[in-house]
Amino acid sequence: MNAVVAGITYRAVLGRRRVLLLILLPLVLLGLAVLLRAVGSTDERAVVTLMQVYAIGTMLPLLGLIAGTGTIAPEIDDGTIMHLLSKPISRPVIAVTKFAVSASLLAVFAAVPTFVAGYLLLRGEAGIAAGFALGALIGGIAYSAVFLLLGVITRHAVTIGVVYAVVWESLVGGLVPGARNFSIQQWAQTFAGQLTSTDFFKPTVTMGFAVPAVLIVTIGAVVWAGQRLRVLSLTGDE
Amino acid sequence: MSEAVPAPAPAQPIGVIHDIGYRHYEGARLGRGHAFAALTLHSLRGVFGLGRTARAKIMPFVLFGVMMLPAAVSIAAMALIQRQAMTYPSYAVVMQPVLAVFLAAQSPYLVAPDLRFRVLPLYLSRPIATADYVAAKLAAMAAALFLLIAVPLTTLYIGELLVDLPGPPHSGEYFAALATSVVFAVLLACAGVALASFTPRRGLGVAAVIAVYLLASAISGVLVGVFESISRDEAAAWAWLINPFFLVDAVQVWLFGTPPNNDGGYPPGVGGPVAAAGVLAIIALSVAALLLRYRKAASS
Amino acid sequence: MNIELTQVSRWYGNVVAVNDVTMTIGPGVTGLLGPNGAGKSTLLHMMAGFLAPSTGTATLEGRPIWRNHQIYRSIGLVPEREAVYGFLTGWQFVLSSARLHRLPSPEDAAAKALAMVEMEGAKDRRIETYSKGMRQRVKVAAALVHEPQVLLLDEPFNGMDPRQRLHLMDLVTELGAAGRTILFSSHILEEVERVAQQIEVLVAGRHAASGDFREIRRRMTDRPHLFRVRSSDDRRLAAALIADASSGAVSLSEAGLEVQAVDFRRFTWLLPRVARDAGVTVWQLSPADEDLESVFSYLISRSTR
Repeated sequence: MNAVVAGITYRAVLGRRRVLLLILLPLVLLGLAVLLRAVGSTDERAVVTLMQVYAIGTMLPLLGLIAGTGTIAPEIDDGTIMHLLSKPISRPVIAVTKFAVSASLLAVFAAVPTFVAGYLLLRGEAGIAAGFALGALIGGIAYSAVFLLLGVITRHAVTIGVVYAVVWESLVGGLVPGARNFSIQQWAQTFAGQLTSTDFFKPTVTMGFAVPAVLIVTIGAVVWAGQRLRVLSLTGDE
Repeated sequence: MSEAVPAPAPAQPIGVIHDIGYRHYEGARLGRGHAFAALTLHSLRGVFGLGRTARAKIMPFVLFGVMMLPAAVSIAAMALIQRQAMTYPSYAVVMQPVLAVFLAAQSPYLVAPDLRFRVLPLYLSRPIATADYVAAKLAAMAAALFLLIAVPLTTLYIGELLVDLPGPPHSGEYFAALATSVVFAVLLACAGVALASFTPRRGLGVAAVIAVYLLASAISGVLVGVFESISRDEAAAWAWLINPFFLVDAVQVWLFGTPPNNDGGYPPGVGGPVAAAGVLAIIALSVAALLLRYRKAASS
Repeated sequence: MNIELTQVSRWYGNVVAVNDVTMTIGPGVTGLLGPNGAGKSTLLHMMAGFLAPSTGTATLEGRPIWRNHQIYRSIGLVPEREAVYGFLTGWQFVLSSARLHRLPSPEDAAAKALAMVEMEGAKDRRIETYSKGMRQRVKVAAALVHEPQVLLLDEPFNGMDPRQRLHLMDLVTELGAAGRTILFSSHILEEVERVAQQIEVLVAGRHAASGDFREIRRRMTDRPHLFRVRSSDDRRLAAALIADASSGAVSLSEAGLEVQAVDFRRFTWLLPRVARDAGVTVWQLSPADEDLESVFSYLISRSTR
């Protein structure tokens, strides 16, 4: 971890139009929570739907995509990363720092709003607020690592990330049961399930699979990103 | 200059213009209409990666292939078990994630590089106005999306005619779906290009377009689920319209009387006209935003 | 400190960008000269650790450069691409560089580096408001902040106005005179000629020439040399010279004679004799094309022939 790298990265991600998307997505979650409260639909089933479909199913991967690729892809794209790479700092340290920045952003913009929305609707009932906040936190960490890696290895990180988030996790994960084992969303739900006690929510992936999967994916992706950064060649535009 | 060289001052200043073979263009100039057509065609080719690197072709053609899959499967099903696997009016609605990914991946290509490298003044120094530029980009994206929907639909229709199912062919449904695909194409193109034009960064543009689609679809999904769970079916029927694909489907249902492609149908009565008004409003808003955006970009 | 390239080649797919280059860059200012697309940037990137040689080795004082971030303690790099973090001020940018180098007192180092490029006045403005030349200077300051023994500059004078250009040239000359190893690439001859004692010429990926450019010029005896001659009777001398096969062309003007000598050695032997026989006194004989530009265009035309 390097404080200067982290400082520059925070300013790069938060200083541009990117931050609008980072704010908009959790705002919509809170808006929906307020709306559900207003129409008096504060039962566990409705809240679980909100959490599963919106918080974990839509907001988390999108925020992961924006924060994870946003910490490194634009810098590689326009060559500003040279400023960091031409210094006596090991490249894996730079990768780990960028990963930590992205994960912390997801904790703030995804996990906290998830907890607030859940708490707004149910207070502490059935552990739903805390459970899904934990799920969002863990999922955010895994997404940060994966999308950081994508940002390092390809110039089309966002497009590929979109295909992964939309096509793989929603379509394939929804239709092919076996594919659910290989979905960060599903792992996040498994962690959420550890704290919740409601009849309306049953994660499909076991903890015995999800814990090693999250660990392997996160550590593997960050280490790989660091190694790729060591051999990064920067050549021209486009 | 090396010190060994004395500078022999020439008696008179000498200037020479060399003839390097430059020739004036003396043919006819084709004017604004042709410039517009050329830009549209160039952009349309670019959306499918034609005239770009091999890597730029992967995404559009893979997505095009995915769009063709249901048509192929359906033709096979008609031939083997004499049943339609996919109806015409449901095609675009079922395939909405693919269309959304295509829109998100390709609309930033149309606008972002021109903004990023500030080449807009170069376009505008030709007989082309800001509005022409915007119209050409929209026309290209709309045409691309129309092809993406209409080609599989038409393939499916030709397949149906060839297989010759018992009973009359579903020509009415085919033409209704074809007409609706124009609405899909125009609506999606306007919204996608407008969103993408707000950032010169391609990656952020992709993220913005897909975020808005996923946002709309998730909000709609959550609200429908919640309203249905508390038995407020009419509110649920309205909530479907937040998703742009179901919005257009509601218009299709209203105009052509096709069966709705959601579970539970759309609001009866004013629902259809309201959906149509919604479509028009989104288009108008997007075009207005684009014109404003480019008025600013052209002067910078 | 020396940067040594040993039989370095680099190819991208089927395209060879740098072809079997061996060179040593030592203390002083070295100009890396070549037309656009000659492989200058590729070579510089390999020296800066941003590209692996496909074959061969690139070392700094015997230590490998590739995948070795410790070398940046001794290397300062000014990349060609203009992009710098636009949202930082010049001060923040240079300071961040000092902090990334873990200098004992980063503020002092940053202030010193900014003073060196005369950017104190604008240091509190955001970089996105800077002109191209100012960005270039801030990049130089960030590269100099840790007082590196080796400074690599990729097309450093691009986009600078003449005054800034002169200033940076003086700075580079000064640093070179102080014993640092400085390498800069350029396709503009006047810059290289002015600053560099040593040139390395790269043409189509090959190391075409190396050394003092006058020395290189002298070695190229198989090309036409252009001489300016002033004498007591130019017309007569011209007639006498053109009669011999060693002169390719002779032109006569008020400023004197210009003679293109096809065979250098024969011409230098011939001229005094011809003048004596014709009874003409030669007042002045000078090479007309001894500047870098003609050396360079010669090298280019030879390798693309």
